[in-house]
Amino acid sequence: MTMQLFKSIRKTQITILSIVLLSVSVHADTIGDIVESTGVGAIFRSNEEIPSSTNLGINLYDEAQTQNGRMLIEFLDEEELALTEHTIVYIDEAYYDPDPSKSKMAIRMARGTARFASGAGNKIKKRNISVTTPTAQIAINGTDFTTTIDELGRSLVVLLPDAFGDASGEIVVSNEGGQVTLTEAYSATMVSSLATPPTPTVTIQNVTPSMIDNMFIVNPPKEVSDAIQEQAQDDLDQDQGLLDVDFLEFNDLEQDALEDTGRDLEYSALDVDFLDVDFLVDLLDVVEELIKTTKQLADQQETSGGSGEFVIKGANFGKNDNSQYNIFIEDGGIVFYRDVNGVISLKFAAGANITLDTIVDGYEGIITTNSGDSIDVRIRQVN
Amino acid sequence: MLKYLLGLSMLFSSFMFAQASDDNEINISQTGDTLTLYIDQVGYGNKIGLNDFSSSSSAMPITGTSLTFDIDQIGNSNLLYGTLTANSSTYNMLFTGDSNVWDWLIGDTGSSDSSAFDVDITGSSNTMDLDQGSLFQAERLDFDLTVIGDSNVFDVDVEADDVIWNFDITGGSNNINTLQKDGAYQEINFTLSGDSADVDINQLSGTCPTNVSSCKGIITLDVTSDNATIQINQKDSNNDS
Repeated sequence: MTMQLFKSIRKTQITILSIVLLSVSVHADTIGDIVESTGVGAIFRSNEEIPSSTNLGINLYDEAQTQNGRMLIEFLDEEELALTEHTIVYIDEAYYDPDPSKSKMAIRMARGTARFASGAGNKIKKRNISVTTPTAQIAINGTDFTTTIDELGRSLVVLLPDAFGDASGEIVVSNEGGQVTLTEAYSATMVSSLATPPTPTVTIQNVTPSMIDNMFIVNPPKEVSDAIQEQAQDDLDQDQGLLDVDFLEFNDLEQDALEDTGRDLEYSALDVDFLDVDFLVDLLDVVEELIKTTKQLADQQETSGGSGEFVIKGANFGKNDNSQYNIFIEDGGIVFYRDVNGVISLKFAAGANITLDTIVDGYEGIITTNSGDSIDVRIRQVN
Repeated sequence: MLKYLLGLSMLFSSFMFAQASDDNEINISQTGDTLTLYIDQVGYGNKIGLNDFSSSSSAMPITGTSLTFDIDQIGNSNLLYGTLTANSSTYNMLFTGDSNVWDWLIGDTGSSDSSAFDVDITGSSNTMDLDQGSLFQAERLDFDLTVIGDSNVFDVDVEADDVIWNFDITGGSNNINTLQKDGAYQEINFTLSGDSADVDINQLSGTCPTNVSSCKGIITLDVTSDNATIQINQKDSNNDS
């Protein structure tokens, strides 16, 4: 009896040891590599930060994070995950079984923009790959798509074409509110919250694969914005019976009591929203006439106000939607920061008299500070 | 593997009259890896690499891998010319004086990858012309340049992937022309303190390497100046025009 008990305990110990060892070995297995890396990024692994670099192995439970950089990860089955700047992705599950139908992969996107292209399928069936965002789940059927998560967790999903320009497959975007299936190249949907159904499918026009390659899409394209607006309108048209009344709705705090006082001074480098970049302004061919007249508007624009030693014309402190300059005061100097197809960051000392003449895709204009007659800056950006 | 250690020290100072000697000439033709080249040249009218430079010149031809340059030229009207082909190399350069000329072509007979420059220039009316990667590929270049002085003319052209430059210029009437071309990642951080500067920054991201979806360019400028003219061209193309 004692002998049997001893054997039983020993067997249990061996089993536990085997499980632990197996677990450790599984965790340590490399499931992919970083094949391209530019700028600043890192892999976070067991509370350790490993700077991103080419050929760095990717393990299960790794967190891939880019700051001012990009990275391209290739998994064992040739799935590719490309991260743009300021993106966070978690590798939650990656299991490769000799039987591809038993293999699994789960990727969770927390923030930013990433492009996922499924692989050869020899090691893992595509239906066993799932990508989740804070507000949606994406099921894959042999596809190439981008996902963008903004700071509110809203998810924009765009299905990309294959090498022949056809849809690269089909993806199903779902959450608690419902689901949509993207089947056409450049079809897209936006998901605002877990409970809100994805917007009806829209197709983005005038986009080419190279544009997607070079930019990804950070702001919702116009078609998607329209769909969101339409969805919101539908909500407003609801029955409005007692059950539709939201007793928790309280908007008083949304009133900014400081709105008219010292607004210029509130905007700082911390307020720069690196995701709030309208890459598609030229793609959508919007307001070309308006763009051409921006120069005139700049001349006519009233002085937007002073901040410290700067009086600025042709732009406002804060984010400027037309030029996409973020303008703010830092250490007494003035900063112009723009991150669209390249970063231009200009800082001038206190009291500088600057004329900033900018010609970029989607914007032509002149911004001056003070008399503007001392420092002449000309910026030309061509993509 | 060949290893050359060449240390040249030429000190021709006349401390009694504060009068420097002139016309010391050094010309080096060197092929081999892991060269460490130290030169301290003090005086005026001195030369390293003869007194002329052109692409066909044989001014100081050096070829190898893992080279280390530690060159100090202290004095006025000195010349430094050279054609180098060097991978994985480190350059520590110090120039103190006026009216000096530095003209180097790096990568004239082969690739010039993984270069790290640390250059300090103190003086006025100096001329610098540095070209790298125009004839053969160049990848990964870190370039730190500190200039204190007036009326200097600098022309730095680099065709390389993964380039990070940090330029710190203090002084008036400096004329600086930079070109970063054909790179996957290009960054320039430029601090200018001084009046009447003329600065041209050209960043042409050009051809992305295979499987790289974007060639990122970053320009950061910090300016304290009056009467400065600054031209920035940022282009997602390899075309200069």
